[in-house]
Amino acid sequence: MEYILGILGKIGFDWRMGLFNLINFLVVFWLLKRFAFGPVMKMVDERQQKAKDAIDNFTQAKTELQMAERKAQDLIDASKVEANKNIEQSHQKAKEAGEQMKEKAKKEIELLIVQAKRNIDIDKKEMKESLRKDTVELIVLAVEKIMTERLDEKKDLKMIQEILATLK
Amino acid sequence: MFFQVQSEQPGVQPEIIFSVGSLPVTNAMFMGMFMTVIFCLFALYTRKSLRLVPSKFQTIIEMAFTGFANLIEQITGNRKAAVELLPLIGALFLFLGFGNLFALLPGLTSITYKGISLFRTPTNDFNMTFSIALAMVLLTQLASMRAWGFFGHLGKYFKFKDLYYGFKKGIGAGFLSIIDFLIGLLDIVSEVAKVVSLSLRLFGNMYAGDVLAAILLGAFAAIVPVPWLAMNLLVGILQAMVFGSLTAAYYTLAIEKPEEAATA
Repeated sequence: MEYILGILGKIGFDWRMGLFNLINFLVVFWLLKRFAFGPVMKMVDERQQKAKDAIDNFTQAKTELQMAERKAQDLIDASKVEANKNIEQSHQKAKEAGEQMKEKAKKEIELLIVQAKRNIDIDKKEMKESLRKDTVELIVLAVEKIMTERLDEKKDLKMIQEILATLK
Repeated sequence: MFFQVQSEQPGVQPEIIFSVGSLPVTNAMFMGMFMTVIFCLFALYTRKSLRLVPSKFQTIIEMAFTGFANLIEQITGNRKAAVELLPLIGALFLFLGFGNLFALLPGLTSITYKGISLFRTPTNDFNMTFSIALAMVLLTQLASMRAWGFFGHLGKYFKFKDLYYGFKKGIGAGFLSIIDFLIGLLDIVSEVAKVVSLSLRLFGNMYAGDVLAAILLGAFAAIVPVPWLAMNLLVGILQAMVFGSLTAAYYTLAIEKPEEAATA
């Protein structure tokens, strides 16, 4: 040991100074470990963890958003289908109602036509009757004139009735 | 022809400034204490200024520390071991690196007390490099004992077990185990050599740098200082990195199990 210390002493080694220097370094090591390396690395890890959590949360939120968007789209699609169905049904109902109204109107028109035809027939008959009467009168008058014979009112009426009877 | 500056070549031993009892305080030790005070202030300021949203200072510190951790991870091949070793290797790198660079501050070595320069590069003192290197190698031995157990650790150097099993297997394997046994004994020498090589490499480089600076400044003072300072900056950082990296490598090798070593 003495020999080794002697050799080391030739290049300036003194165990007391060596020990002092070692203690000096250990103080620096302890200070840096306690106040610099430990807290700084802890802070870096904490920040990395927070960043990781934030990325995870972001990814999760993004997935949830996509799912919500998909769900909303599904709802919109379903609503559209439902709306189209309703519109289709409304169209169908409107068409049916239109058809019904058309049918009703047709029936009413037909009824009116029938009624009108009936009225026309009645009018026609009445006109025919009137025309016949007028014609007979005219004929009578014409005959009267022709025969230049004036019949009295009683005979005239009788004659008219006889003519009318023959006309029927 | 050249502007020459008469500068004194530094001695191998640091100069004693004063003594505290029987303990001589040298200028290298004084510089070491001065650096400890600076590191103390730095550590306290770092702790105080830590925020979740980092300032510029904190960003630089975090980048440097993360860089150290990545470097150690490359050496150990294990993130957990890197984080565990970071305070030690980081402290080594900072202490030795700044120790090497501090004396390059212009005018610092010109401050004298009773004609003796107050500041000398701490790594330019063999006491510093040897004591730290010895402590690091002892630490690797302790780590090895913790990983392998006391007898497992001794078994790395005294391979009696391999010798027994070798001869049990056959004569050829027995002779091979003798070679293995001798290699184990040589490993003891290599552990001592680690202390010597670690300490002398750093001390030799820094001391040689100072001696060369004195010689070159004496000869070519007009052109030498700037490139010389630039080179010393590089050498100072490099030597600190070499010391720290080798310590990390020794530590890793010491705790490495044979199956891990085979797969690595």
